Amino acid sequence: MSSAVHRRMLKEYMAIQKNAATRPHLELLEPIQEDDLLHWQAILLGTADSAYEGGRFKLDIVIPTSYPIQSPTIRFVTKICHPNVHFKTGEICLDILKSEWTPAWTLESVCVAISSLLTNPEPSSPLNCDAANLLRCGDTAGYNSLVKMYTALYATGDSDEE
Amino acid sequence: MQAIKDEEANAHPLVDHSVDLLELAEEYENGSEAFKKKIQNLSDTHDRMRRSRGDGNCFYRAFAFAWFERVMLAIKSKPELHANAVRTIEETKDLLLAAQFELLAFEDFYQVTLETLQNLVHFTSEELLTAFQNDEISNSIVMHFRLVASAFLKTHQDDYAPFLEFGQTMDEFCSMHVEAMGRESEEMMLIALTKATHVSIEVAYLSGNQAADEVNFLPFLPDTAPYMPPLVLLYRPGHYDILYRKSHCLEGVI
Repeated sequence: MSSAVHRRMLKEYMAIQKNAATRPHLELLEPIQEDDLLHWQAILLGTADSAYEGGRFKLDIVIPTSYPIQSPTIRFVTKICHPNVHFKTGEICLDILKSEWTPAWTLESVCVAISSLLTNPEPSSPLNCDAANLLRCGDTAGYNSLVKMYTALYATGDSDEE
Repeated sequence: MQAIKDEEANAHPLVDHSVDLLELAEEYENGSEAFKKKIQNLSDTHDRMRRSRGDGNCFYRAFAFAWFERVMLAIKSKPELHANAVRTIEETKDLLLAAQFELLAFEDFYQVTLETLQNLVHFTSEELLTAFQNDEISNSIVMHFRLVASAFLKTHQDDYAPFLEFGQTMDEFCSMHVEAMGRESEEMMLIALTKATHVSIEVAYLSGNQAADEVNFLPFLPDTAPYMPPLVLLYRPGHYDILYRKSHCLEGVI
C-alpha cells in the first residue's frame, strides 16, 4: 500500500473519532477491519421528520490508492428508495463522487454530503426512475409513503440487509 | 479516448531533462512557415526547453519545477530566494485556511511541498528532477499549487467572479476547474498563482498565427515588485513547457 494514502487514512480515522459528537446523522464511519484502511463502512441515520426517520443505512466505502486525488467508491449496502440511488446495486449518483470530486473533500465531509442528499434529492438525474417520477409529477405524499415503506422494510431491522 | 490519452501521457516523464531549443525546431520541420519563423526568433533569446507531461497538470508542474529549480541554482549566490520561497509556501497555509479548506484535507500536500522546498539546500539538479518525476511527490506539489490558486480565487471573489460563466459560482468553478487533478488551466489560474506566490511568469505563446513572425510574450505579474526575473513558460494550444532565457544565465540546468 502506498504510504501516503495510509498516512492520510490514519489521520482521517483519528479526526473522525474526535468529531463524533458534531455529526448526529453519522452513527459510524470506520474501517471494516483495523488492518485494512482502504475499506470502510458508514451508517447514516435517517433524519427526524423525514421519510427516512428511524432508518439506519449502511454504506460501503472503497478507497483507491490514489486517494484523495481520486474519489472513493461509495454505495449503499442497505436497500434504500431514493431517486439518486440505484435500488439494486446501491450505486449513488452524486456529482462530488464523480465529475466534481476534488481532493479537498474528506470521507467525513462526503458522508455528510450523502446524508444531506437523502433529504435533498435531485430527481433530474435519477438512478431510481420510479421514485424520481413521483417527485417530478409532484406526488410528494406518494413519494414519502413509498420511502417510508422501504425504510421500514429494509432499514429498521437489527440485521444489515445486503 | 481517455485511455489513449493516459497511455500517451505515461510514455513521458512528469518532468523531463532539458533539451536544446533545436529539438523544438525539429518538431516543426514539416510544419508551417509561421511556426518555423517564430521558433527561429525565439532561439535568439532562449536556448533550452524542458517538457512537462501533457496530463492536464502541465502548467502547475512546470511552474513549480521552474520556481524550485531557480531557487536551487541560486542557493549559494542568492540565498534570499530560498528564504522568500519558504516563507511564501508557509503563508499559503493561512491562505488555504482563510478559504475554508480543511487542514486535514490539504496538510499532506502542503508538507510534501514545503519539505521539497526545504531540501533544495542540499539537492543536486539530478535529485530535484527525480523528486519531480516521482508520482507521489510531484502530484502532491501539483495538488498544493492547485489548492493555492483555488484559495486565492475564493478569497478574491469580487475581482474574479465577473469573469465566470453566467450562473456559475466561484466555488463551483474552483472545484471543477482548479482543484480537480488533470483539469487544464486558464489565464485566471495563472493570474491567481502569480499573485498568491509573488512569482512572476512570462508566457511565450507559440501559435500558427501567420500575421506575426515573433512569439508573443504575455507577462503575469504579482501585486508586489518581483524579487527575481520571471519564470518563462512556453505555451502551445493546450500545453505548457518550461523555457530557458539566455539572459537569465542559469548555471547547472540538466
